[in-house]
Amino acid sequence: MEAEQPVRRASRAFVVFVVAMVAVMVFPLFAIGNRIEPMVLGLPFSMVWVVSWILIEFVVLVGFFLYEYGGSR
Amino acid sequence: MAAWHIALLAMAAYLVFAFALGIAAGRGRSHFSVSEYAVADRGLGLLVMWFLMGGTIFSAFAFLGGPGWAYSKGAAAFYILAYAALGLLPWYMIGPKVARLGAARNYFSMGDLLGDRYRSRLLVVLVGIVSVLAFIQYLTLQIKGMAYVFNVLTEGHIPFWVGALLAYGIVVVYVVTSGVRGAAWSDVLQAILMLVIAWILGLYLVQTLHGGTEAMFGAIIAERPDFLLIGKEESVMSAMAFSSAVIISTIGFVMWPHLFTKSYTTSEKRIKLTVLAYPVFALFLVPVLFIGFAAIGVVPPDAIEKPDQVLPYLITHELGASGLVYGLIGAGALAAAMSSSDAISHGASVSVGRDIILPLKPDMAERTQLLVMRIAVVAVGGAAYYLAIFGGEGLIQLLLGAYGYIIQLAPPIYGALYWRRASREGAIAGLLTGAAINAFLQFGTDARPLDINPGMLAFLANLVVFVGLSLILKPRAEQRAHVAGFVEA
Repeated sequence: MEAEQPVRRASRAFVVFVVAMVAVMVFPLFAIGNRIEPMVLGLPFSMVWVVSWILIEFVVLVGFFLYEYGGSR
Repeated sequence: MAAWHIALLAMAAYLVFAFALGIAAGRGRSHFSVSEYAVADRGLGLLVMWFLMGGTIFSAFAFLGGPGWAYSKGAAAFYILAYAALGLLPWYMIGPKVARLGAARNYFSMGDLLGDRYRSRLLVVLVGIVSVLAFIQYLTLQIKGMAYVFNVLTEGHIPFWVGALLAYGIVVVYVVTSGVRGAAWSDVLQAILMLVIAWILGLYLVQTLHGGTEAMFGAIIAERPDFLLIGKEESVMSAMAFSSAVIISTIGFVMWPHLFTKSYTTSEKRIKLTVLAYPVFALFLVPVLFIGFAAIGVVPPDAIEKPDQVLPYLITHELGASGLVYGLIGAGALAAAMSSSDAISHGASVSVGRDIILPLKPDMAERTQLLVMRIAVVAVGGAAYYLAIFGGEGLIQLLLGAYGYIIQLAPPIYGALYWRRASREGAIAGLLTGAAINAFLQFGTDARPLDINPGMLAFLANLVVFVGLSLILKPRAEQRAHVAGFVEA
């Protein structure tokens, strides 16, 4: 059986994280990324903005999971 | 043999395979247990869980609507990435709580939870009806997708109504016989097939039609500078429309009742791991958008009836006349649509059986309940089929329309799990208000105040009524312990 209960929970921090993730995907913050230049890998910056935040989201999620379940055997 | 013969054969072979797998998944299991049908006796593996959830995103909407939006609306298509990446995030918090409550109190549906928390049968029935309305629109979207694929890839030889009937008929049969297990195992196959095909196709089309992303986007920018931006003068989508669509999807995504049903089958750790995998699924969608961008300047706008047909059109006009390629891609697109429709059909049938019929007739035997659920698969499917053939809406409108209803469930759900004052009266009045406003904005008028998404407006009204009424009413002292059981779970 895998360990089911997290060692600790980071619930409040997670709420902040969700709100922040939504905030960068909608206006007014999205306006920062809403431009063509600089293009990266041939993609317009507006698309790079969305994709990069998704990458960051994944890394942070892994962080949350490791924090909550880390150290349990 | 003409190319479309081979395409048809390949798609038919795929359908037979998917059908056999779906049926086989249910073998050796009890066909007569509500618990097995609805939640696979609470024991699905992580991989299957991922694909079951992933399948919901990689639907006909993503596979056909994604390229369609990139082609016709440019940057607005980034909404699809945001939606896929953000949708499941709140589940990290709510999911484990729902799973604990479900396991401890033996729930099968979302209505079970709400009915128990608010002690109201009326609310359960309302939730059931609102969910089924949303399910039908979402299914209509998938059925339309399957029909486009059949129709275009066989060069019009399979009429729209036959293609839809064929593909969806198979889904209905394996959901009826195998329940959630049938849906889960065919999703694993379908998600893998669709992913591989989307990537190969996206990268190949960009390379052959334009020689790389730089040249492709460069040409688009030279032609229409604002097309790849949101809310500029010549952009297709306004800042408000984009933002409200992202928000409504983030709140709405985890309110799909079948998500609740699925979560009763799993554990807290698995739920969190599922959420973790989701941004990766969103990144998988990037090449899907490339397909649509690659079509700009290649597919003349008047060559296709609807932007949703851009992918099938590209395949038949730009990939040479290889019937096998048509067939493979057709199978990928069918996979995308089928993996969502099976989950949705299954979810809708549980909603009808548990949340609408059972509260009205509580003394039903288990076998009768199952029969009702199985009949519901066919009935809901029939309604969606009818809408797909005779309704005029595009894939995206159907998706957002479905979310307009689903998001109305958010106030009672969040209230049930986190707010002690949340009251039965507030939940019922809010839900009625929200659903009525959404239906009116969607079908009764073309007005779009401030360009805000209609579902979002309805949601705000729902929230005001729910919170307002709950604050006005005195909390019932005798229910304090009962409510605490949910908030502290």
